[in-house]
Amino acid sequence: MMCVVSAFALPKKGNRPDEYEDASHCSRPKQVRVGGSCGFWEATINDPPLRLAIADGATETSFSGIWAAILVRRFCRRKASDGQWLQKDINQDLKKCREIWKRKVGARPLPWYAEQKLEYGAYSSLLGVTFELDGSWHCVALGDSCLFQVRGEDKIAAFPLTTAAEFSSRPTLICSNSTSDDQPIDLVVRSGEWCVGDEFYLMTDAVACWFLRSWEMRPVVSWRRAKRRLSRNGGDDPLWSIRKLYGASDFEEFVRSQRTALLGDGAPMMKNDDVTIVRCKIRP
Amino acid sequence: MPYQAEVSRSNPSCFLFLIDQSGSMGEVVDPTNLQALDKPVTVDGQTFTHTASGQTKAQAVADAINRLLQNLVIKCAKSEGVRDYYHVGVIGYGGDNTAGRVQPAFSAGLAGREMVPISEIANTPARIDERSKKVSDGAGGLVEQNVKFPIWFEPLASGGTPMCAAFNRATTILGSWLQQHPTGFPPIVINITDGESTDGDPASAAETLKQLQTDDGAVILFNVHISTKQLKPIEFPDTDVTLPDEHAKLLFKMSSCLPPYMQQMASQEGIPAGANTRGFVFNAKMEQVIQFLDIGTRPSNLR
Repeated sequence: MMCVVSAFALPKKGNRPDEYEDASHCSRPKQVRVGGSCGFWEATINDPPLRLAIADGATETSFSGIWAAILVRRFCRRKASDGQWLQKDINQDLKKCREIWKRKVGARPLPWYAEQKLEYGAYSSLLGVTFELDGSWHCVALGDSCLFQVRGEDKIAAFPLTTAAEFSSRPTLICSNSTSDDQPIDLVVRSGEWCVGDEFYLMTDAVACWFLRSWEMRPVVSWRRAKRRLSRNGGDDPLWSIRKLYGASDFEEFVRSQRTALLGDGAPMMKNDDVTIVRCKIRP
Repeated sequence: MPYQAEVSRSNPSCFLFLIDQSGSMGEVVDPTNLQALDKPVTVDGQTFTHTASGQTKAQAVADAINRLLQNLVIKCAKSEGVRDYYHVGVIGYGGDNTAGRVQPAFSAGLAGREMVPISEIANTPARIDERSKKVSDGAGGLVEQNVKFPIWFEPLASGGTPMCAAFNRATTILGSWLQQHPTGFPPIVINITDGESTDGDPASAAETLKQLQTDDGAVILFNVHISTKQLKPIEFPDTDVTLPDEHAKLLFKMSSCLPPYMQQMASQEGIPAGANTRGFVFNAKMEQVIQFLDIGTRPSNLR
C-alpha cells in the first residue's frame, strides 16, 4: 500500500525562515522532491508500519524548534515491534529526547539570559500517527496539533480537538526539562481504520483551528450541489483549499489569504503563527 | 476592540517605570525588624536601644525593577538572541526642595537613556551580582544555588516627590515614542511611590498622559503605593469607597482600568477583576508590588 505524503511549512508572518519552530517527519520516506518550504515523499504502509508526526514548539521558550524536531524524529524512528506507544516506552523515549536536547543546546557558551532561559526548558506539542498493514491507524497527541481523516467529501475523524472553540492559548505541552522522568504525561490516544482513497491531514494549531472553523462555517448542502458549486468557482471550501496545494508558492498564497481574511468580529480567519500541514493520501 | 494588537519586532510596545526616589524611600521596609544596638543612642532627648534593619523601600523597589527587567529579557530571549518586542524606560524622581530631580535612572552603559530596546538592556547590565537562591534538590529537599542577578538600576532616596514633573516627562517621552509607533500595543506606565506629590496636584498631568494613544488604545497608567505601615493592602479596587483617604482616592482616579486580558490574568492569580477594576495597589508590601508588576507586564499577544 503506497502513500503520497506532502509536507507544507511556513513561519509566522514577520519571522525569518530559520525562526520557524514547528517540525514534521515521516518514517522511511523515499523523497520525491523538495521545493522551498515544502517536501514531498512517497512512503509505503508495510512492515515496519508507516509513521508520521508533527510538533509545534512554543513561542515563549527557547530552542523550541530543536525540541520539536527531536520529538517527531523519535516518534517516527521507533522500532516496528514497538506497536502502540505505551506509557513506559513514552517515558524512556522522552528521557532520551531530553538528553539529546540538552546536548544540542549546551554545545556552545551562552549569554546569561540564554543560560537562565534554558532552566525553563523548551515546550512543544506532539501528534504522531502510525498506519498498520492490517488497516488500522493509531494516533497519540499532546497539545493542540490535530489529525483529520477525510473520506470522499466527509471529515470522518478529528483528533484530539473537534471544534474551533476548543483551541486555547495555553495548551498542555511536553517539556524538555523534567524533575522526574517517571512522571506520566497526558498523552491522549485514538485509533481508527483506513482504506484506499482516504486522506489524512496533520496540522499544527493555527491551521487546524482554521480548518475546523471553516468546516463549521460551511453551509449544509447536498452532495450534488456542493460538487457543482466547487467545480464552478472552487469556492472557499476548506477541504478544496488544502487538497489543491501543490507547491511552496500556492501554499504561501493560501496562508496569506487566510491570515488577512477576517471573521465577523474582526479577528483573522487564521491566526498568525507557524503553519505546518502534512497530507497523506493512501493509494493502492 | 482595543488592546488586541500583536507585539512584534516590527511593531514593539514599551513599558515606562516612574520610580519615587524621595527621602522617605530611604526608610526600611519592615520597621518591626529590630536589631539591638551595641550601646544605647540618645537623639533629641530620646534614648534608642534598637534600630530598624533590613532593606529600605528604595532598595526593595530597585530589586523588584531589576528582577522584572531580568524576567522581561528572559521572556524575549530566543535561540538567536533577544527579540526587541519591548523597549523599556525607567525614570527616577526626587531631589531637594528647590530643584526637583526627574531623570532616566539606568546605570553605567545605559546611563541617561530614556527608552532602551530590551536586547540592549540584556547586553548592558551595570553589573551582574551573584546571589544565592534555594532550589529543589529533586529529592524533596532544598539546596542553596548561586544565581546571576543582573543590575541595571540602583536605589536612590533623597528630597521631595515631584510627581507632576515625572508625569510630564513621561508624556514627552511617550509622545515621541508614539510618533514612531502609532499602531502598536499601547505603552504601559507604572508609577511606584510611597507618598504624596510635593510639586502640585498630579491628577491633571496624569490625565494628559492617559490621553496619549495608539490605534490600539490609550496609554495605560498604573499606580503602586508602597507603605511600611502595618495596614492591610488594597489591591485592584473597582471603587474608591473602601479607600481610606483623599491621597488614595487620587491615586485610584489616576489609574487606568485593567484591559480585558489583564483582568483575566488577575483572575487567574485569584484576584477578582472586572471592567471597573483599576491597576492600583495601596499600602502594598513588596510581594504585592512584585505580583502587580508581573500582571502589568505579562505579554498578551507576543508574536
